[in-house]
Amino acid sequence: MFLEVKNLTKKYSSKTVLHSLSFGVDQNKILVVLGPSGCGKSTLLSCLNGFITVDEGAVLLDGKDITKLAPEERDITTVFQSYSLFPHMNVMQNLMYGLKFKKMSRNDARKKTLKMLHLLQMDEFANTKIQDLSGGQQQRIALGRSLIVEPKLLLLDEPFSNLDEKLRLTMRHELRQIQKELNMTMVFVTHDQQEAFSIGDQILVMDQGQIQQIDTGQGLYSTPKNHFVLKFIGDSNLLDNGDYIRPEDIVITDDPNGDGVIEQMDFQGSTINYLINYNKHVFHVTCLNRMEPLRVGTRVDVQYKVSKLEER
Amino acid sequence: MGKNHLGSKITNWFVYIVISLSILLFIFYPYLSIFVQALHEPGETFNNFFMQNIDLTKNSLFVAIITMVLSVFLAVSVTLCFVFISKKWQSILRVFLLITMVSPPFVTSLAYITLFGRRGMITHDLLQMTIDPYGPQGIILMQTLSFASLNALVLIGLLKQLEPSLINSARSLGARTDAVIKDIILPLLKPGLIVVALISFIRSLADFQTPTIIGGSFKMLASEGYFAVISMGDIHKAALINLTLAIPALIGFFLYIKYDREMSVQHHGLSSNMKAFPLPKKGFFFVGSVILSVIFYLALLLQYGSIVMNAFSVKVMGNYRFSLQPIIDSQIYLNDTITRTILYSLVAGLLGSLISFLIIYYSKVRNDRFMKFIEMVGTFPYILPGTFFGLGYLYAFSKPPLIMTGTSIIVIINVIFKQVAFATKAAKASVSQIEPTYFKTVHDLGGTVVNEWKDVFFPMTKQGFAITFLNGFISTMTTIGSIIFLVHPGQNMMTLVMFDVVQRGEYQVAAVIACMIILICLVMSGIVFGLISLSGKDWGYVFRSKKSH
Amino acid sequence: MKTIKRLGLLFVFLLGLVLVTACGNNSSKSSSKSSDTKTTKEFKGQTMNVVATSDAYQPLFDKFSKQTGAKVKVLSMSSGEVLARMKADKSKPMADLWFGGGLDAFMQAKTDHQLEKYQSNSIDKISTKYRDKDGYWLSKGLTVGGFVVNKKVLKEKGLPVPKTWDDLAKSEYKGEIIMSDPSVSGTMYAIVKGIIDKKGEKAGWDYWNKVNDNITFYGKRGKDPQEKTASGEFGIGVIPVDKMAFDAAKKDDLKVIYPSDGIPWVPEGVAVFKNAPGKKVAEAFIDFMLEPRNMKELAKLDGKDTDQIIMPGIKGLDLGLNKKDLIKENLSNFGSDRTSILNKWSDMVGDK
Ligand SMILES: Nc1ncnc2c1ncn2[C@@H]1O[C@H](COP(=O)(O)OP(=O)(O)OP(=O)(O)O)[C@@H](O)[C@H]1O
Ligand SMILES: [Mg+2]
Repeated sequence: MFLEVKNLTKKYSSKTVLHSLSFGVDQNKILVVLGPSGCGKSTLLSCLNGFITVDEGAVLLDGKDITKLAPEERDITTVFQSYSLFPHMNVMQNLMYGLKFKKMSRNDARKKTLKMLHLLQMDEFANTKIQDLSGGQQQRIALGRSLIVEPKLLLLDEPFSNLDEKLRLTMRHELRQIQKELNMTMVFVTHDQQEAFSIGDQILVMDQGQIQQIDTGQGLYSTPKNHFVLKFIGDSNLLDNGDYIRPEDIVITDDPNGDGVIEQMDFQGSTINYLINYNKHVFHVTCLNRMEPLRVGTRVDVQYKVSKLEER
Repeated sequence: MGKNHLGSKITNWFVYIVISLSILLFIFYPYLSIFVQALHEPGETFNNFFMQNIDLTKNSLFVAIITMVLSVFLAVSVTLCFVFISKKWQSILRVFLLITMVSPPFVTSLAYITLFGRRGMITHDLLQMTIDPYGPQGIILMQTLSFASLNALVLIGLLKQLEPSLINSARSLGARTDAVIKDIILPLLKPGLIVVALISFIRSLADFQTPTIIGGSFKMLASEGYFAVISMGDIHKAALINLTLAIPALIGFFLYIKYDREMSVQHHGLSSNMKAFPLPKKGFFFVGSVILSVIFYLALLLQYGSIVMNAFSVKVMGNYRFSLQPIIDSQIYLNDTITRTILYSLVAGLLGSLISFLIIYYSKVRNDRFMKFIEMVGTFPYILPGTFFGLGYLYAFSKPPLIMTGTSIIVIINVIFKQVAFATKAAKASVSQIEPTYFKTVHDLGGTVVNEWKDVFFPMTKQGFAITFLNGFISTMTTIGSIIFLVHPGQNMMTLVMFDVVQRGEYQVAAVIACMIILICLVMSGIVFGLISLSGKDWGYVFRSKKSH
Repeated sequence: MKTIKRLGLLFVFLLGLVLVTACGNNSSKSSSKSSDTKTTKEFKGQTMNVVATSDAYQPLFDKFSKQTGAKVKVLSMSSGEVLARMKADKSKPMADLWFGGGLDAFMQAKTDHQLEKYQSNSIDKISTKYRDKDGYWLSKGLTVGGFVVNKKVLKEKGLPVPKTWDDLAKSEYKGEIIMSDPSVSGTMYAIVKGIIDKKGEKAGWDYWNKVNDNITFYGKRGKDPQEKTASGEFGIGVIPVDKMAFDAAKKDDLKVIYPSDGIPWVPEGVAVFKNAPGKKVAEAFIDFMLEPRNMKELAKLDGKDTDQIIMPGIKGLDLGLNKKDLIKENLSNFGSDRTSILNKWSDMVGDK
């Protein structure tokens, strides 16, 4: 493991925010930390980059124990949610900032910065003031500023949450590209599962300071380990016995003699969500938009596949 | 509806005209008069005077420049030290700095002579030296000490803009404490540095008290100007001297306008909440700033300790004994002066702020060209020495068309309009936090100008208004130069009494008065901040939402 | 609506404040016309504005208030400042009564037509020497000059305690003497002028030249010599000798000295300002002041033992002053020579 976290515990006065977390990240992979607001995601990042001291446990990076090092001594950089670009420096100066602390000639630093600008597709903005950039451009510079020092590990704390939907999609894509190009190891914090699925090699689901499950997106979805993960990841129809049915695992067909009745229809574009009443229960159903939408009140035939929770 | 609009239009014009005229009349006209007096009245010509007294100018500039550099340097150290200390200490030290804004130079000077004088406890008794403390070195040291407080408060106010995440960012990129300070914090302070440098420069030029106490044979423009009036009754010479002072001050002023724009928030450091910063306590800047700050605070402590000691003791055969005698003695000097001073300060604070906010309403919200000019005229009293303003009043309002000297009104008007300079700055900072769309919304929904004031402008700036008021109150409580030539019997103010008793060597009484002034200012600060925190908590969030770039 | 009401209230309140504070001053003007009868001395509701050299006279003014019902407002101001203010602002009298301050200023003001003539019924009690022959001013006491010595400092330097003015010119005291700038301090001017009167023009200036060589710098405030001698910065300070000086000497363990070769002095003036709105009250006050028991009280407040010189028979304090030691001064040119003496002085001292 490239990054190894062992029994990490963090308390604020008496309240334990992180409960003995252990996990690892392989080199050149992205680990996404996913969880509801207040579950301790940012706190976990602060333990990794060293802005807060941990109460128990250890953090190992590339085989070296860095638990006690100050942030500036760790080979880790962070992209903050607020970007935190230096307002009194222009784009170039912001990007170059971290290189000041590497033993590197000014000329080399410049070259490297220009290359980074190119990678970020922002060549023409070298001398622009930070205030004159759009939100997405600022985000890119913040990312570039952290990447340029070639850290062993890059941390990102909800970096795209200030962007609009469309831009967020683009940025996810770009981030993956850049990550591949530079062979970067990353820990990415978000509370948006779509983002987690599209970015993460592995996803760590956390709640109340505890790891609920670490798996690929696929794994989390198809084999949730517990109720929290099940409820948190995707939609599901819970059955009384603890089993569940995913909305896409229900197939409905127009049938005047069917046992189900459409109660609500929600047109989503590529998909259509229905609420159906079946056996006195209400089920969520998701269908591809392949046929004429079914009207409310239509009777339907219902086929489904039950999944079991692999909880022990 | 139509009627309502007409009424509001009339109110609007009435306010606009009254404000413009009052600024022209009570700021522009006095300055104009004194300029005319200096240049056109019979007597020595300006050129002649200037050439013959070039040494005075040189001395003043010499002291002003060195004082400026040192007091800014000291203020920066104190500000940097703030970055390292906890919120609790930040609050404590800020109150302390606030207290020391009320800085009667006699205390510093007295303590200085006792310690470093020719028979000083340190220089003579301890080190067996006989050093002459009188001269430029004494003036510079005293001024540096007393200006550093205000400078530091202004700079500390700027720290509010410093986001801890910015520091974290830099650190995560590998910046150590020194680099963070050099690359992030100092650049953030830069516009403030220029502003406080100019304030110190101008204050030093205008300070006529310190040189009279500690200057020895070293002569400077401001004190000579004061003596020209006091000992020779030579108003013309005083006008010439003040004109000479005005030249560097005006040059400073234009630099100031240039840089002031960059500094959006400037509240004399009176802003409320502080925060702790995630910066490791190490490195050159940390050590340096802590050492200098400790020395600075010790010096202040010594200074204010000696005020309190003087206020509560008498000297018998060279030894101090606890006594309430000074407080009893001070009564005959004060009588109704305390109430009057508080009353004047209240009026000056309130009306000064009101006028300033209305000026800013027109100049900033309405973008009115003429009002921008009025706003600039309003900053003159900030730039030019206080005595100059006072002389202008004395000269302008002692002859037709408007004779007002000898009345209380002239003193009140003087202190009100002296506030405008600073109050407009604070008003601007406060108004810049209101989104312009609010004003449009008012009109959209059928409101008038008066509605803009009562529904948006004043309610949304009330916190800024309160702080501006407090500023005006404190500075009126401590003002001397601009009213010293204006008061007549029955109009005296506490600072003037203090200045007077210092002149006659009644330091104990002076110390009592200084304590009272400090106490009154503190109580008023407490009231204002109490009100703000009671009513204003919810406002913070509304304003913050605008912060995005 | 609430806000605008509040704003309105605030305005009314402020206006009220301004008016209230402003009226305080005007009252004297409006009511002064009413009563002319001097004998009743009933000045209820009227105000007398006073510029005085010190706030210490308050008890006397309080007594006057009690007796006549007039309100007294005092502003303490040096005589030079009074002159300057009158020069700058000719539109109004500075106040009603001018109380205390070097006579030169009063003489100057008389020449500039800024004083009102007043001859009190009891004016004869004051020796003619100490009042204006035309009745524009009178004096309430004398300020005398001497010096104060810090024994510790002199002992450390191995210097004897000086006894005479001539001692101050000795080169052994170089760097140990401090006096105030005579243009700032009326008493210092009186001392300079007194010694020139005593020694004669040439010898007098020779003397001051020698003293000047011993002086490092001149204090910019009347109190400088007293303080700086007390703090040990200097061994000898040239001062006005009054009760305050003796009190201060006791506080700081100093010694006050009346020079044995003559004591320079300056009368302290009292006058009514020209066109003073409270003229009648001011005149009544002068009558009141000249009553022997009030004169006695004044002498006590003044902390001087010189008042009996002004008004024979009044016993003030006993500070050990011998009337015979007073230098014979020429008061006639006391005011008119001021400018020329000060100019010559400033040429002599240069930049000190
Ligand atoms: N300095 C602190 N002192 C005390 N408690 C804290 C402190 N910082 C965070 N907490 C608490 O720790 C918990 C975790 O906070 P954290 O900021 O890590 O949450 P998060 O998962 O990042 O939430 P979000 O998605 O809203 O950013 C929260 O309950 C928070 O209240
Ligand atoms: Mg967070």
